Amino acid sequence: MGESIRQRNRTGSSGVAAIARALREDPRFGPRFERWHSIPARAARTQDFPARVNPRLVDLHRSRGIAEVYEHQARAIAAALEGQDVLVATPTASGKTLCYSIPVLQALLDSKGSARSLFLFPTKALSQDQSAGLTTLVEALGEPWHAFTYDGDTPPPVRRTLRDRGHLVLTNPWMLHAGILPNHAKWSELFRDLAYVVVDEVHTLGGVFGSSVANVLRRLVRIARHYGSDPRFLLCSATLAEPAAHARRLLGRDVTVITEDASPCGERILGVYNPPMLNPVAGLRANALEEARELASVLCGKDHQTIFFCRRRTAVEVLTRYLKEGADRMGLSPGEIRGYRGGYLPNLRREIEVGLRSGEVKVVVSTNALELGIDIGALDVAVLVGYPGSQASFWQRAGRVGRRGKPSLVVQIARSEPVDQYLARHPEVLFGAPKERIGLDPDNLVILSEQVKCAAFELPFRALNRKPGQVGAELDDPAFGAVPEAAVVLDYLAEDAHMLQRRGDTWYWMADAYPAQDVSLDGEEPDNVLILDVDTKKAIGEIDRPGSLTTVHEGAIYQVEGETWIVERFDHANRRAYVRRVETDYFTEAEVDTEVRVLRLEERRTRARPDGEEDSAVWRGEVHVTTLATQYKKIRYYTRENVGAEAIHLPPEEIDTEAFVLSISDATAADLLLSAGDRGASWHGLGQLLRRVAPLFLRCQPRDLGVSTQVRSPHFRRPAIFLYDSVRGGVGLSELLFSGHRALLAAALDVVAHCACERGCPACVGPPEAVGALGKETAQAVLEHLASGPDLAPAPIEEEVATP
Amino acid sequence: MSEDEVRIRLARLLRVPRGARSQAADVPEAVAVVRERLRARERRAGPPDTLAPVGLEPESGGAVLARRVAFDADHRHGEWRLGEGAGADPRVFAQLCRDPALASLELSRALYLDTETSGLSGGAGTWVFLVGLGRFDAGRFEIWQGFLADPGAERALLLEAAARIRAASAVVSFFGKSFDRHRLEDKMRLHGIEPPFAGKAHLDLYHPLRRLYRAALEDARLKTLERELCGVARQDDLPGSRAPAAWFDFLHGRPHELEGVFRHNRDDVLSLVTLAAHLSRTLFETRADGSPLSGPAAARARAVAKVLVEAREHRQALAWFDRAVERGGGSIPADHARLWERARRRAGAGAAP
Repeated sequence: MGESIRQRNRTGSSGVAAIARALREDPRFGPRFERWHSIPARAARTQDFPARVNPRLVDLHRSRGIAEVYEHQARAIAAALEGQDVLVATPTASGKTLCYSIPVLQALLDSKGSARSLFLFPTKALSQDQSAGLTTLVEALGEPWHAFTYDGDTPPPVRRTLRDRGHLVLTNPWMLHAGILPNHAKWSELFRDLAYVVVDEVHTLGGVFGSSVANVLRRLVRIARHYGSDPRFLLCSATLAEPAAHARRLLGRDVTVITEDASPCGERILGVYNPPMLNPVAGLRANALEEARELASVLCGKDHQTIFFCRRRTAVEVLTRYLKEGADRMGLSPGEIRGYRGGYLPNLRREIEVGLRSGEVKVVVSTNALELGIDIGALDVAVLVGYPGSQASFWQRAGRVGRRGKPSLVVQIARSEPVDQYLARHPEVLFGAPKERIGLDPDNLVILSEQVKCAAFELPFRALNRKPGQVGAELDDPAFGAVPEAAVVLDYLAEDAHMLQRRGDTWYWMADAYPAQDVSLDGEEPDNVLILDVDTKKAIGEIDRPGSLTTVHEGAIYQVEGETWIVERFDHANRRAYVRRVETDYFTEAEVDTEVRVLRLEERRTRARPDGEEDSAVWRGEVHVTTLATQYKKIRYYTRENVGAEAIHLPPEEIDTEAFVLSISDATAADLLLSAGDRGASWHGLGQLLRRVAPLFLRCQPRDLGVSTQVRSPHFRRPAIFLYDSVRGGVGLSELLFSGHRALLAAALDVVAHCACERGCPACVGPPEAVGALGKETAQAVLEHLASGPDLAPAPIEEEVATP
Repeated sequence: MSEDEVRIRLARLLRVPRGARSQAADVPEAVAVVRERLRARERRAGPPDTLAPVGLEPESGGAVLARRVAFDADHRHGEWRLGEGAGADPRVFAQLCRDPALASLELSRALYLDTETSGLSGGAGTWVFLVGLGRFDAGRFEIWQGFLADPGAERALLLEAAARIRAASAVVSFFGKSFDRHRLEDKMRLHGIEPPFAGKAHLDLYHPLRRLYRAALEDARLKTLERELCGVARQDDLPGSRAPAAWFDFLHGRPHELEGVFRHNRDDVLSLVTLAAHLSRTLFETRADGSPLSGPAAARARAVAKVLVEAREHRQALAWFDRAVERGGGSIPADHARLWERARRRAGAGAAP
C-alpha cells in the first residue's frame, strides 16, 4: 500500500494535497487521524503605499519588486508615520519587517541622517538576518548610513565606531540591559536622536523574562528622555490573545494594534494523528516518535521538503537516525536527511540552512531551533511530534511550510498528554482566535526592585515635591513615575540594601558595583547547583536550586542522555552535588510535600447552592509555599517495580508568590461524593489535571505553575486546590487563572469526559494507582458540576476567612 | 497597599531564599512593622551633618568645593625636584609612546591629571568624586582638587574640570587614557558637557614605563614605579581601593577617611610630575645634574633597544643592546636576542656600501 502512495507522490503534480489524500485513504494511518481541518487559500489584499511615504522609499521598493503593500502593512506604516506606537500581531511570513523598515528609513531620510533607531530581537540569528536586510536597503538608498548588530560577538575595537556611526542598531534585550543602558553615555549619540524602538517577537515576552524586559524598556525610555528624545515603539508579534492588553502591560501605554492579515495564503491542511491505543485500560498510546517514523514513509519524498519538529534534542537525534536508516525506502539518500538543533557548530548549521533553501535537503528533523528567525525558505510538510506547548509555537512551526500560493500540510502527532488529546479533538482551537494569555507583571516586586536598582545606577531618581501630609513619595520619572511601588523600592534599596543614598528628594546610586551584571532577565538565579563527577573532577551539569531537592539529593540517580551517576554527597549550603558514574538497573523518584499558607487574599468570587449556602468559590491572593523533599523511591527500569525507599534530609524550599484557589463547600463536596474514601486522591488528580490543561489558556509551561491540593484546607476549612505561580512574587498567572477559570474547568472536563481510558490514565487525571479506583469518575462529576450552572459572582473577602 | 505594607512585602520577598537561613530570618510581622516605623522616623529626620576635610573652599559661586595646594618647583617628591622635567626634549615621549602628537609636549605646560572614583567597573553609576589637576604656574606647582561633596553638584564639578582641561596644552596621567579619561568623558556626556580631550596630546605614563621596566620590576603599578624610579616612600597612604568606601562614608556623615584620599590623590599627582621627568631622561640614562638615572638600567636599555628596532632605527638599537649587556653584565632574553640579531643584520646591511 505504502508503495502506491509513494509512486503518486513522486509523480504527483499537486504535491501536498496528494499526500494528504493518501494519508486519509491509507487503511492503516487513515483511521488514526482524529480530525482533518483545512483553511482555503486566501488572496492578498494590497494597496498603494500610504501617501506619506517618502517617494524615494516607494521607488526603492518598486525597484525591488514590491509595487504595492498589503493592507495591514499600509495601516501600520501610516500609523507609525503619524507618530503612534504600533503593534503588528500577524502570522509568520505576513511581511512584518516592512511595517517597521519603512518608518525607520523614512525617519532617516526626513532628518537627513540624524534620526536613529534601536531594534530588539530575541535571538542573535534573527538580528543578524535583519541586519543584512536593513543594510541592503540602506545601501540601496546610497546614503552613508549604517545598520549594525551589537551583541556579544561584536569585537570590542569595533564597538566604539559602531556606537558613534550606527544609525540602526540591532541588538537583544540582554545586551541592552547589561551593556548599552549602564553605559548610556557612550551611546549618547543614539539616545539623543532616538526616533524608533523596534521590538520583534513580543509574544515571547512573558513570565519573568517579559516582566524584566518591560522594565528594561522603562529604563530605555528614561535614558532617552534624559538625552532629549522620546522614541515611538514599533512592536511585532505572532498572533496573540489580547494584543492591546499585552502591549499596554509591556509599555505602560496604549498602542495602535493591527491584527488583520492581508497577505496571501495557500490552502492549509491540518491533520491530527492520534497514535493507536496500546492499552485501553491504562490509556497508553503508541510512542509519538515511533509513529513519526512510520508516517515518514508517506510524508517524505524526493519532490518536496518535510520538516519534523521534536520537543527534545535527543528525540531529534533518534528520529534523524531512524529516517537516515530508512532513507532508501523513501526514495532518498541519507545525505538528504539532516538533523538540526542547538549545540551544532555554526558552520554545520549554516550548511543545513543553505541545503534547505536550495532544496537539496529533503527532510530536516529539528527542535524549536528552527522555529523562529532562521531563513530556510518555505517547505511543504511539517510534522509536529507532540504539541509544542503553545499556540504561538504551533503556528511558528506550521508557518515553516506553505510556499506562495501553494497548499501546505501540517501533521500533528498527539501524545498521551491532556493538552495533546484535547487538541486532537478540537483542532479548531488552533485555528481560531488565540486563547493563550500571556502572564506579564512588570511590577512584580522582586523583578521591579532588581530593575530599579539597575535604573538607579544609570541615572538618579527624583521625587516629586510632596504635598503636605502625603506619606509616600511620587517619582518625577517618565517611566517609573507611574509605578506606585517604585519609591518604596528606592527607599528599600537605600536603607536596607545600602546601595543608594537618599539626599533630599533624590536617590543616588552609592555602591561600588555594576548591578546589571548580577541581574538576570530570565530569573535564572545565580545560585544554581553544580554537579561534579568525583572521579574526573569535572562538572557534568547544573540544576536550579528548587529542582535540586528532587534530583541531586543523596542517593539520587542523575541521568544525562542515558548515562547514569549516583549522588554521593549533596553540599546544599555550597550548592555542589558530588556524583560518581554507576551502572544501575533503577532510577529514583523523589516525593515532595508542598504546604501552602495563605498570606493575603485579594479577590473572591462565589456562587450559592439552592439553600443559600456557598457552593463553590475561587480566590486570588498571596501565599507562602514550603516544599519539602520527604523520601525517594528506587524504581526498576522497564518493570517500574519499586525496589526500595529512603528518606531525604534537606531543608525546605520556601517562596512567597501568588495563587489562584478553587474551593468547594463541604455540602457540595458531599453531594458530589467527594467525601467517600478516595476523595483526597481524586481531588489531587483534579488539581494536577488543571495544572496541565492551563497552558491552553496561559502562555506558560506546566512547570511554571505549582499545585497543592488540600482535602481540608486549614485556611478555608473545606477542600481547596491552589495553583500558584512558581516565580517569587508571581508574574500575573494567578490573575489570568482567576478570570479565566471557567474555560479552564470546561477544558479539563472535556479531557476527562473524552479520555479513552477506563479509570484514569496519564492523559487525564492520572492512573488509578494514583487517583483511586473511582478517581476519574469522581473528578469528572466535580468538573461537570463546576463547569456548568451559573458563573461565579464577585464577593467580598470574608474577614473570618481572611485571617488565618 | 500602603507604603508600609509594600515594604514589609518587599523585605519578605527579597529575603535570602535559602532554606537553611530562611527560618532564622523569619521576623514576625509585628516586629517588622515596628522596625519599619522606626526607619521611617529616621528617614524624616533628614541627612546627618557632614564634615568636610580641612581647606576645602567653595568655587564657581559656591557650586564646586575644591582644595588648592601649591609647591615650590624645588620641592622634593622622593628624590626628585618637581621642576626637574622643565625643558625636557619631548621627542622621547613620542618615540617611547609611538605617538607623534607627543613630540611637542612641554612638561612645564602640561596638566597632570588623576581622579578618584567610586569604583573601577565603569558605567553611568561610577562617580568621579575627586579630580586632581596639577600644573606649573609662575615657578610653582599648584594642585587643584575638585571634590564632589554632594552628588547633586556633579555637573558643576565636571564643568569646572572640563574648562581646566580644555585650557591645558597637554595632559599627563597614569593609565588615564584607559580609565580616568573615560570616566570623565562618560559623566560629561551624561551632563551634556563636551568632553575636552579630543585632539589634545595625552601622555599616559603607564604604557612607556611598563614597556621599559616590566621585565625587571614586580609590576608596573604607580606605587612600584615611583618607589623604584623616583625614591618615593609614602607614609600612611590610604590605598586607592579604599577610596570608594571613604567617600561613601563621608556622604553618610563619617568623613574620617576622606583626608587620606585627598593626600593619596595629591601624592599621585606629584608622582606624575616626577615620573614624567624621569621618563624624559630615559635616553640620557642620567638626571639633568648628571647623576645616574635610578631604576633597573639593563632592562631599560634592552627595552629602549627594542623600541628602536620597531622604529627601524637599527644602528641605534644595536648601540642600546650593547649598553644593555654592559649595564646588566649578563645574558639577553631570547626574544630580545632575536631582535638584536635583526638589528645587527639590518644595521650591517645599512652600513654596507
